[in-house]
Amino acid sequence: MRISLTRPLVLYPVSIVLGLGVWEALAQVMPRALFAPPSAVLGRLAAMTGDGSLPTALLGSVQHMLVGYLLAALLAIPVGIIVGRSTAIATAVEPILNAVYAIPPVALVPFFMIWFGLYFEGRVALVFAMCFFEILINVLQGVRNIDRGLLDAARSLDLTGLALYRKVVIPAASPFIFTGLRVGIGRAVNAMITAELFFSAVYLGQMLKTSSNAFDIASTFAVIFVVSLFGLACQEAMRLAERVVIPWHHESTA
Amino acid sequence: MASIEAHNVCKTYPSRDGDVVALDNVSLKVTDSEFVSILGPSGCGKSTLLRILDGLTKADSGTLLMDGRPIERPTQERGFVFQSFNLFPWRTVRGNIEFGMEIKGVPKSERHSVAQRLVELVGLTGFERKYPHELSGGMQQRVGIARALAIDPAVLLMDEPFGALDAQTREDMQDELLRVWAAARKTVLFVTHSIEEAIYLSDRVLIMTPRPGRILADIHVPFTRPRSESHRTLPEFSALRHDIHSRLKAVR
Repeated sequence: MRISLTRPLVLYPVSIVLGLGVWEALAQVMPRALFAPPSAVLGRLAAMTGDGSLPTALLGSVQHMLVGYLLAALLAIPVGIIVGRSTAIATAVEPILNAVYAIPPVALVPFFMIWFGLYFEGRVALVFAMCFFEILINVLQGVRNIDRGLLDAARSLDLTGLALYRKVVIPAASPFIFTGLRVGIGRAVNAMITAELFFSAVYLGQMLKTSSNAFDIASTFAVIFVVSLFGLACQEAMRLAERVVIPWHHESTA
Repeated sequence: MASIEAHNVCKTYPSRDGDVVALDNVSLKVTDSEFVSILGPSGCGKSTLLRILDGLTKADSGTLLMDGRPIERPTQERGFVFQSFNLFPWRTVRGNIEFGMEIKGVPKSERHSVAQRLVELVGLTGFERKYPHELSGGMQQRVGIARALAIDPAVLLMDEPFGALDAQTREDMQDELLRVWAAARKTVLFVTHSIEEAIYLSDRVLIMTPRPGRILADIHVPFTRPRSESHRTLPEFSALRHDIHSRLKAVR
């Protein structure tokens, strides 16, 4: 059997090696204070992992990220379902939601500092603000896109009230809910670092700040690398969760 | 034994070009274990009438009765089969069939045995654990019929159930439906735009005309049961088909 060059198993390693090659070549022509080669970054990565500083920082960062994300998801899903199901509520509430969505969350940092302080609660608030709307918009879309025929089928079998939500609305909207959760977790990782840079510097954000202030570019890159890898892992985890929880959807669209 | 009737039902839809009269003083009565078709071109209001009889759509005026009691909203006394199947994609064949029984609170063991019996009745043995997207159109509609039968309704309302199927599957499904109907003895109201399908299946055919939606004629189908392929080739069958065809053509 011929192995096609476009197969992921072939293409992924090739793309990674190529990327590292370009990176290394670029580093050769750039001053060390501005750019670090992959070899140096990998060295710092190993050292910072070995002495425990990087894993400890990551663990610290994950706390406010997870709390903010979970709060956002727990609120955005029911709000999305309620607003998505009621034209009257949507008409009343959507302009406000859209107006708030238009505000860059970072612009709210000064208020969050006053309301929630400089530490954990403030960071959680920013993470919440940065992923709430991403989740909400997808849930809303999912509820509005529910096939009317499915609702007719449910009604014809005399399904009403809360059971209609549990047995039809939520499962029918679940592919969109999962998309929202996946996009949202990407934003949450983003917000995790933003919060650590804008509020008091801690964990990974602090490592980024100190290393870049000291022109230790290799360490800065090492932290960025870890953040990027972590964000990727979170999104892949959500993809996996989706396949486990709603296998019928993955198979029907594959 | 169940009968279902409509008296002077009116329904108007607003549209960009003014109001469209979907149903204009429509009355009909289907008595117990009767198989009646509503036949008409697209847009004649036949699907609207069926939805109103189930309670899925509200009539502007008129009386709707089942066994003499008014119909106000969908209940499990009536089963509905949709043209586009409308199966729940997250449920397996068995899960879809059991849906109505779950709502009614039927115990699990009983749900399983009823579902199993219906799976066998509609010829889906071996497919109980499949999801709808793994089935062909004909098989999906077998699930749709089984799901409607699972709540043991007295009346089965079928809205162009075979309209989305290819010609061969359609004829097979017609025979399947007659077999299931003979076994379950339900009162059936069947909407279609196929003259041949209406004659082949029904005891009576109600012809509907569009704009405004009205019942033009009530035609008795004289053929014996059980029906089979050979009925389609009878001279009387062709004569009836021509008769209905010319009546429909006259009003268009």
